[in-house]
Amino acid sequence: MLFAYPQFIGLGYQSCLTCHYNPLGNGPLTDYGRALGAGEISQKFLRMDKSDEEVGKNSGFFWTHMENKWFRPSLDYRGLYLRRKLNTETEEGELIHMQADGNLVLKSANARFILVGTIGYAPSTEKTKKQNVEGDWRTREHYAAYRSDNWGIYGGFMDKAFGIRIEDHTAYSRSVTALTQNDQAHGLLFHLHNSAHDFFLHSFAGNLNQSSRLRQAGNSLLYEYSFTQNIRAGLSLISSKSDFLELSGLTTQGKFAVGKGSSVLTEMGQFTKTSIASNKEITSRYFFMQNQIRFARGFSGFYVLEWLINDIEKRSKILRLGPGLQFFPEQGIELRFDFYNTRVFSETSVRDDNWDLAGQLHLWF
Amino acid sequence: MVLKSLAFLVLTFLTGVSYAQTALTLQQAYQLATQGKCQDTISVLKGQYGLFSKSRKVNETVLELGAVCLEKMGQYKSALTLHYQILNSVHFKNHNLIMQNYKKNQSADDVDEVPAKLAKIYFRIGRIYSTFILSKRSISPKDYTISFNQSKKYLALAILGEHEEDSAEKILKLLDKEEEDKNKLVYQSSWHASLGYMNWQDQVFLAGPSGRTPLTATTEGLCIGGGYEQANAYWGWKVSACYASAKSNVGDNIPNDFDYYQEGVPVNALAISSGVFMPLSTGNTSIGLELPIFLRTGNYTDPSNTAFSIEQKTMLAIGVAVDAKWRINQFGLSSKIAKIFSLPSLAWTLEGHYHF
Repeated sequence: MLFAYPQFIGLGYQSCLTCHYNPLGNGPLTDYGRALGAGEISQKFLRMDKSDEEVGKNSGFFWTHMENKWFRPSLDYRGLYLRRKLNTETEEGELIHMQADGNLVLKSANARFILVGTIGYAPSTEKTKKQNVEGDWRTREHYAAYRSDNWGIYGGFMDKAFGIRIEDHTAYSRSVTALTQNDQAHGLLFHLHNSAHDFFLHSFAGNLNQSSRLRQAGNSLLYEYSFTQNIRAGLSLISSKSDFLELSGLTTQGKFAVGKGSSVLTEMGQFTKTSIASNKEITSRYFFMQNQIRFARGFSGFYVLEWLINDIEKRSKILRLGPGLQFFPEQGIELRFDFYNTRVFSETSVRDDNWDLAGQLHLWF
Repeated sequence: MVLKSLAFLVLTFLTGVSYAQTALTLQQAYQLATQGKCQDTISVLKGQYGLFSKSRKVNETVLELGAVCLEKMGQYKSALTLHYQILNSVHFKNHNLIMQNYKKNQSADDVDEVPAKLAKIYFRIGRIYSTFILSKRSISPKDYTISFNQSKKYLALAILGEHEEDSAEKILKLLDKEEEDKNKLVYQSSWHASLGYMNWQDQVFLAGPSGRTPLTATTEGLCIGGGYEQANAYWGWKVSACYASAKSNVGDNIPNDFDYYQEGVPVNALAISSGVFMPLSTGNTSIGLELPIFLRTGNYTDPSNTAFSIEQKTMLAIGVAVDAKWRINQFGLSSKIAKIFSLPSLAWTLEGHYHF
């Protein structure tokens, strides 16, 4: 899923659990998260006559007030228009429907027991068409959980606990670490927390929908500590293995709140992939930084910088700069524009910079 | 509010005076005041009761009516004179004690009690001082500070004495807002040292018998420098300089009959920028526009074939840059994206700043 917004540390929200049922972010929003989205994060262009309190109260399914305490349906859509290789002979554009999900949360009155499930249609893309892969129905998250005041246990199909969960699944910090939009696993996640600490231990058996030989089974842990209200840092480790591939990685990460609503996120990691058959090992290193400036309520600018050394035995590396704009004109509507400038430092040749442009529409009700 | 005060004074007067003849004349003065004829009221008080007379002891009620009328007429300094005359002549002991206690911490916290009579006078004094600030009249910085502090002091004491608390709090909020707005206009300056990472895609030319072939040079390095900036809450200007020691991978990426590639060419660059920026209201962040001058020299090796040479080893160019900055206390993080006009692509920098 990976559609989390950790930059909201800039608004004083350090823990994902405040706004999401998933304690590491992404997936369906809690009532508080929806109210916050309506009353503080988004503009109110379609409900200008309403107070923040009113839109917060009516922030449930299709802007309604949910009277019951146990049933929380929601819908999510993300579409992306991606224009690749701008200003070249091979420039092309593609519309990608990344997500069209129906979500359902069932919970006990005190929200200690929860059941979360999503299902959606993933249509084929230009890339998957070339691989003769048709569109399909897919669930990217379903789990049951029990949460106490300071701990929670989650069992089911979820994203693995590792690194900063950001919304851009093409970021090197997610693609190199094999944690993109379809890399969830069945397993058990244990979460221990208080006001300053968050500790996650995730034991997973791989994606049980895959052939048993392909399943990446393993463990990961993630720890974050809030030094102050504005500074949070942590580390994470992961190790997994299938019949073909062994993966291991570690990261250090930092989240910094600046002013009211702006933030700086950093993640530095190393990830090793070992082919079991050939015993060939490739270690990659990356650095990710996402700086966000909040211009006004609902309107932010981004400056994303990424470094990737795909193989530390070689001197080649890829740098990517991604300035962008994000706009929430109303609760449940997000528009985002990103511009990517990719620069390659090769040890054997030079290449002109590559330019891509992406426009994204995200609707959730 | 002034009218309310006048009405209150009328009531006080009607129940308080004892001499019939005097009362009648003072009653006439009050009636004139409530009709808005303050100038006439002052004339009566001056003529009949010696208002402003240095030789004659003046009744407190007369002083009070005179002060309220003068405030209504906009003669604030004269009104203050009369209020202070009441404090120093009639309520000297209590007033002096209150002032001493207030002075201890410049706060009303150490003041035990403010009698109702004094609270009323304090409110009026505080209100007059606030007029100097809130009416935007031109006053000296010294008078501004005195008026601001006096107004806050007397209004806080009026609140303690439970006189016109809502009005006093409203005025205090306006004063705080005024102070905040004033502070936003104040320019603050700072020097900073910077250490950063810089990379850009450069261009040099391979010149040969058949002409010039552009070579792409992808370059990165560390940049050390500093700068100066001055800003208020709305805008600022800055100058900065950064020296970069970099390495460049240079080669041709055009399919042709020769290959040129050189890795790790030492490059030195100097970027001097000036620009303006806008601090964002969300705090501690800013966006800006800069005009950098970019000087670069590279130690590109000429090919062994003497018919060929590398051109544009040294280059001077100008450009335009967008700068975004995040700041936590003395530490800043600056991200710049620059278009240097003679370079084929963008230059990026990421700098850490320390502000002195």
